Amino acid sequence: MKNELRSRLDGGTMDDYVAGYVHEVIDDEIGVNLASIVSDGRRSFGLEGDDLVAYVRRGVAALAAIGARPEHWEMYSRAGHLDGPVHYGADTPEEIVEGVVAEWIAEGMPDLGWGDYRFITAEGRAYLDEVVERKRREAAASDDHG
Amino acid sequence: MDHETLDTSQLSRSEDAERARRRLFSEVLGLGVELRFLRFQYLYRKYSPDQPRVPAGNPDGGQWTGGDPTGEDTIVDEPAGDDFAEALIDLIGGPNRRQTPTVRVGGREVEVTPGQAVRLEVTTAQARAAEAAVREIDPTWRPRASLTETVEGEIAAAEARRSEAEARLMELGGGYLAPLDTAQCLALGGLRLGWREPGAGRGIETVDRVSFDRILSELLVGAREVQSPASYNGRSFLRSDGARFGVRWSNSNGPTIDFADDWFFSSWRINKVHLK
Repeated sequence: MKNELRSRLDGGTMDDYVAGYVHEVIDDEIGVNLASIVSDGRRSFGLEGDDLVAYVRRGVAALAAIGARPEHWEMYSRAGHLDGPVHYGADTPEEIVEGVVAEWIAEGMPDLGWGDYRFITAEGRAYLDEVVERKRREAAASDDHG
Repeated sequence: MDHETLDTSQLSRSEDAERARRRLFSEVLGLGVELRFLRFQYLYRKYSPDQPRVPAGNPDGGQWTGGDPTGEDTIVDEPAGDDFAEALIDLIGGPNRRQTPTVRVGGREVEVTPGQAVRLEVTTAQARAAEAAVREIDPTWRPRASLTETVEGEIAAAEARRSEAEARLMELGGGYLAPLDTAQCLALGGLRLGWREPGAGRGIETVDRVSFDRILSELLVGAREVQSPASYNGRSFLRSDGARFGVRWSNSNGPTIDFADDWFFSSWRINKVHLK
């Protein structure tokens, strides 16, 4: 891993970037998507091939290590993924890392969309479940009045 | 022509002052959260799957050690795994921290639902954009004042101001406000409108109320609402240049604009804008 590389955009290190993913997934319920990690690897650090895979693996590992889990939001999937959580074996951090990275490689290592592999914490998911339920109630109430 | 030149110069100085004020504000704000981030970073850097542990059978077996190459390892009492995640969440005050949206109605702060907060942000920004379009032609025009006591009243009043402004635009024969490119909305005049909070991921800009309102107002010109993903706590829009964005109430960060695609500028990019 070329850890000494600095971002072409802002001069940040890979450590800085990976710490940013961890901060964001904890700080915002809608989490972090794989698209950002891939984009940072390609555009900020100029990586391709094995170096890009290593960077993506490192970003995903940091997210999985703190309990974030991937899911697809179909409406904003550029890769054609269907809506819902994605599971890999027993969903251990190691299985998630290997599963996500292997799938992405098998897809041809594309740039991804906003809804592809969104990593979300359990707390974030619980809040989003409230959102879904509130939307359902509001839609039902609207139908009743309509 | 001289008169116009003078005005432009004054405007430029005024913008410089505003920029300086905003930069100072962000620096002061940044200092406040710097300590929190440093503590977070300290914890994060300590955690590594490869970090050595005290061997089993030892009274401190299983605990992380400092891995000091001098051999003078010290016991590090920072947790790993779930405990580590909990420690981070506690430190940052992340998903567990709830922000209850409040808005100012009739001179007092009123608690509202996240959905109401987003509707008020959007309708107010739409009204502001329409009013600005009228004033480009008729600088003295003002919408009728309204007094409201509820958030739904505020939303209805904003919708009424927008309708009134659009009607006035039609009267003036200027019924169309050309939307700016999305890139222009985010970097008006090449200026970076916000700042990156210490520790925040790349692409996340935090802006003050003035900038947030300006960005949202510009983005909404000519945008049409589209269906949102089920889990998205807000409203989604499609712009005439093909850009997709959403406006939501973030549980931890309040009003937020999300972009479905990254927007790159000289040395920075944007995919999310928080209001602070």
